Amino acid sequence: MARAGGISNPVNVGIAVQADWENREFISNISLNVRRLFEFLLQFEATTKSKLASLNEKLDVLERKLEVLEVQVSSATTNPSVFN
Amino acid sequence: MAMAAAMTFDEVSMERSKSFVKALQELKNLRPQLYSAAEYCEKSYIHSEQKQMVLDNLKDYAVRALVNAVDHLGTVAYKLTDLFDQQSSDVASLDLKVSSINQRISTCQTYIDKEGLRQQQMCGAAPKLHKHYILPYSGNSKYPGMVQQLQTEFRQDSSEMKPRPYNSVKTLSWHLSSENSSSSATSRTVQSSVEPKAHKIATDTFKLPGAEREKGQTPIPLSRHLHANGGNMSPDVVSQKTSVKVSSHGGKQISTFRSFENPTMGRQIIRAPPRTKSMLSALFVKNKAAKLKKISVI
Repeated sequence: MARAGGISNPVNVGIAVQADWENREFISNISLNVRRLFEFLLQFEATTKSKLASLNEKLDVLERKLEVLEVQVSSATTNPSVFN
Repeated sequence: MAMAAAMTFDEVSMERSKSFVKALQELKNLRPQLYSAAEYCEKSYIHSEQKQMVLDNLKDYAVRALVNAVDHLGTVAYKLTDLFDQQSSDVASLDLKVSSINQRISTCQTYIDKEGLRQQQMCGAAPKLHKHYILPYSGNSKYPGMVQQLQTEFRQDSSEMKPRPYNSVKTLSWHLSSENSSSSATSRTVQSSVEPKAHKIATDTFKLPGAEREKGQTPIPLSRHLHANGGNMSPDVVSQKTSVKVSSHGGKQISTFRSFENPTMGRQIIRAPPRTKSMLSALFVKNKAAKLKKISVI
């Protein structure tokens, strides 16, 4: 019985070690995919930031053009004698 | 229709933004769900006796949670990219409109500047055009209708007494007046002698050989004979020389029309009669040349 218990202990240990290794492999796979997800999020953030910055710049230029046009039109409407 | 289309475009853009916000909200809600699931699995693994089953369930839940998170992130990224493309297109169209308005205003400004410059320029008055073709009152009634009209205009202008800008330029009026003054002296003596001669010559030249001339009948004119024969003239008729002598200044004989005698020669140049000849003789020559030209074409 003692020998049987002694024989079963290494088997149990072996099974436990194998299970541990499987768990570790599973954990590594999960962590790897999480890291890939994180990298995707970083890349997505960078591209979105650049696109939003360019859009913001275009909007600023448009806003300035509109301000100039507004001033020109207001000056034209206030002085109709220029067109006579 | 335009208003309905505009409303649908706005509704589409509103729906897009709403879906993006909804997806982002769902992604945000995943965080507390994952935290609560992690705490439950930890407590159950500690207090439960069947740890292996809890571990297996935990592995499955982790895999499904990760897939769900990736799905949500993809949806949020897609909706954000779509919204960004829509905003970019709107900004581009707005830029085009602003540039068009700017171009219009610049064009108006350019025109205004040009007009202002034109008004402010120190330039003299524009030159006026004066009547050139004014015949002086000659007294000869060759062209009574035209002369009378021009005389009235001349009197009106002479009454105004405006100085002419040009000088020492021989205008048409000068030539015509000189012609009238020279022709008035000689045409009276020549006209009486030339006109019956011209009339006689006309009747003689248009008399066709072989054509029976009935008594009391006037000779058939060349044009009528041409039309009757259909343009087939005998060479004898065409080769007749037509000459008109005008005795005003030595009398120049007009060269003959010999196209049928020498077809290769072509039509010889007929010299224009000088201005002292009578108009009737000049017209006679011109009509003859026109008719013979028609014969050569046929």
